[in-house]
Amino acid sequence: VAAPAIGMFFLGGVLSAALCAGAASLAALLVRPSGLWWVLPLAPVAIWAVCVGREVFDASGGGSRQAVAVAHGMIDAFPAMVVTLAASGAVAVSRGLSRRRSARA
Amino acid sequence: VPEYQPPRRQPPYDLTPRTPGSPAPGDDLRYWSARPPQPPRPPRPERPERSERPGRPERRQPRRRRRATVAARALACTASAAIVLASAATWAAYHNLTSGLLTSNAINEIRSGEKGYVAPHLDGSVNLLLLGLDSRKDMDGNDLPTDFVEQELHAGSSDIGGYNTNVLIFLHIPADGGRVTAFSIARDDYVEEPGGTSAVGDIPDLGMHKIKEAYGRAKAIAVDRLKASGMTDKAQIEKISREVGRESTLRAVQLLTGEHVDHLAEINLLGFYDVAQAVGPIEVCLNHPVDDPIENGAGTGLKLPAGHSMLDAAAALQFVRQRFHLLRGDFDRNRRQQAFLAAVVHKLKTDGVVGDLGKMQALFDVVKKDVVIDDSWDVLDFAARAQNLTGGNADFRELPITGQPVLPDDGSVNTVNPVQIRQIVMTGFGDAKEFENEMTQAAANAANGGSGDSALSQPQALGPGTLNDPNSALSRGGQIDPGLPSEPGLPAPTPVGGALPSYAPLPPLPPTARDARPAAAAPIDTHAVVDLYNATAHNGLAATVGDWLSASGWPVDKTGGAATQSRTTILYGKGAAKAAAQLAQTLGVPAVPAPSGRTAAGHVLIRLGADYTPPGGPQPATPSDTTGPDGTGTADPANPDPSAALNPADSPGIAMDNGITCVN
Repeated sequence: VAAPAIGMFFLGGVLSAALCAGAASLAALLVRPSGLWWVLPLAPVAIWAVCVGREVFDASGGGSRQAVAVAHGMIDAFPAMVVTLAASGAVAVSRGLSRRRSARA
Repeated sequence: VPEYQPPRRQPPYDLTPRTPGSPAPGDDLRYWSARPPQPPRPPRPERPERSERPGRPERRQPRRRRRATVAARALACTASAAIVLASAATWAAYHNLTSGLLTSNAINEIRSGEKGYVAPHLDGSVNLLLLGLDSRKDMDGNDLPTDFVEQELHAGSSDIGGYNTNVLIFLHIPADGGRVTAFSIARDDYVEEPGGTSAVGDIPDLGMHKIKEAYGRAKAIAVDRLKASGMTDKAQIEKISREVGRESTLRAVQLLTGEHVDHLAEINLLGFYDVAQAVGPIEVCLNHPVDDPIENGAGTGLKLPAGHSMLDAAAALQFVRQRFHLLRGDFDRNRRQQAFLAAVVHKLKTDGVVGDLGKMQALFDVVKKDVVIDDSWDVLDFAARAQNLTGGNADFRELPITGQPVLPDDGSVNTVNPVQIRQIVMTGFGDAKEFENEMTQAAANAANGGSGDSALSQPQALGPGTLNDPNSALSRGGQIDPGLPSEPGLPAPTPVGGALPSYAPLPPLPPTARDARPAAAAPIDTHAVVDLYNATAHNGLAATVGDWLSASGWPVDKTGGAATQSRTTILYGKGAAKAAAQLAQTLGVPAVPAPSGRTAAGHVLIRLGADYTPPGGPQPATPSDTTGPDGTGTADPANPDPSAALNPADSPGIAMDNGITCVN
């Protein structure tokens, strides 16, 4: 949650997505194997929550404005979610492969 | 080889006493454990049923914990997948909607410090400029098929039209969802067209011309430069030169109005036709039957009865283009454009298109071909703001002119009072305080010998020269040629009053701009503008009193007729209390706040009733007077000021509350 929040408020755009991906990859690297079940699915959720929350917080007005804010948040979040999911997924797969190799050895 | 014997374990029933912690004889020491033998467990009491258990939380068993963990993981994965898929769908829909839109970066190309630059406002409101181009060419600069132009668009030959911006509608959408205000800028308004930086180098100041020509003049310069640089790609030349044309128009509009353009939308004849076709038949209403035959390439061929009519795309184009055989010419055309826009928005609302991305998609597929929008346009945000336009919470107005002389190089033009225009627009857009600050700054700069870079410190920078400006072409009297037609093949326009000297005098400029005195010296509250309606049976009263108020320094925005009433009333909107009180004192009528918020912020609405009597001080001409504005006694009692009948600000604005508004 901290990474997308920092990225969203202080960096924005590509840098924000990179920060999210880096943070999620680091988490995927450090947690126990069972922790990957939490890191992988919750990283996009955290990004989504921060992006949508920020847009909704900024939006003033009625229901249509709020709906537009949610849509904006989702549109902004999606690229970062994809990059983050791909990076942390790659880390998880590489961890699994290396563990299998070491088990075979 | 001896047969393998498995080690014998201590049978569980062997209860031979032994020292705790020591192996029993015969034990296989490999399986001996240091764990002391445990006393036999007492029989476990039977576990009560779940419903009978005491309040202490149940101690979860590992299997249950595993199940809970698995369930939580499944939930997280499902939620995550749902969020990712929903975001992907939204992202894809948005990019599908907006991809392929023709965009312009013209707004960002106008640099700070250039004449015509206005700093963006930070209040979240949006100023949108609708720009209708009278071009018979496609986006690559190719002529549209002649048959299509003549038979379907009824727009004459492809050779005419050029790149005139015949429609300029400037809308303000407040951030708080308040009332939308829109001004039509008459295409023939005689304004200064400043130059500036562009993709083809610096464009020089274009001088004083009709505002509609700013686009074409700058574009022509750009085309010449691009061709001189060796560029041969026609589409590329068209693209770059149009961008230069847009920048020039933006500078002229910003210089004239004092307001920053946040977004622009440019549409040409073909685009209008396509959009009208996509929207479907549009209902309009005419006050009088219309017959506008095509003669010598002019006219639209429109023939409609009075009352409501449904227009297809071709008829819609005729409806918004007609300017001959109309009482007020171009100004009636502006009204028609406003009414048509209101009708389109009304139809989009009733069809449920506004705010529905799916239905908007079909419209956008058409819009993408022929409509240019600025590259920072947020379609979703605009869809939400467009709800304001459809909520019966918008009105269209026109800007006043001061005369219609005919100039040798420009033909028939509309002269305007730039300070008055700026005041009306800025007040209408909620920037009355900024206007006052500009005036104060201009006065200070003038008092300091003209130093400073405020646009208002120099009269020229305000925009058009005026009848009061000795350097203006308008003041060099011998150049007026009433017989010069404005466009080839078109009848000569009729100047108001016939010749320049007989025009009604301009209302005095605010003291800060005219005499370089501080604005604080002005007694009138310039935060508000006055809308004046004649609710009596006497024709011309509103125009007469409006002229008098203008001459007294009041910014009169609209004058017109209203349903008759016995008493004169003054209602005022938000922020106009002080001005309303001053007017109440002047007119001897109590002012009350508008009860339903229908009066726009910054507006004072005066309805002159049967009990109205001219107050003391400068006396306005009464309806019974036969003395004209120049004191020659030539005025028609039914219409004391002939120019007022043609003044675009003389009729009430188009309110969108009704959806369909009847126009001339």
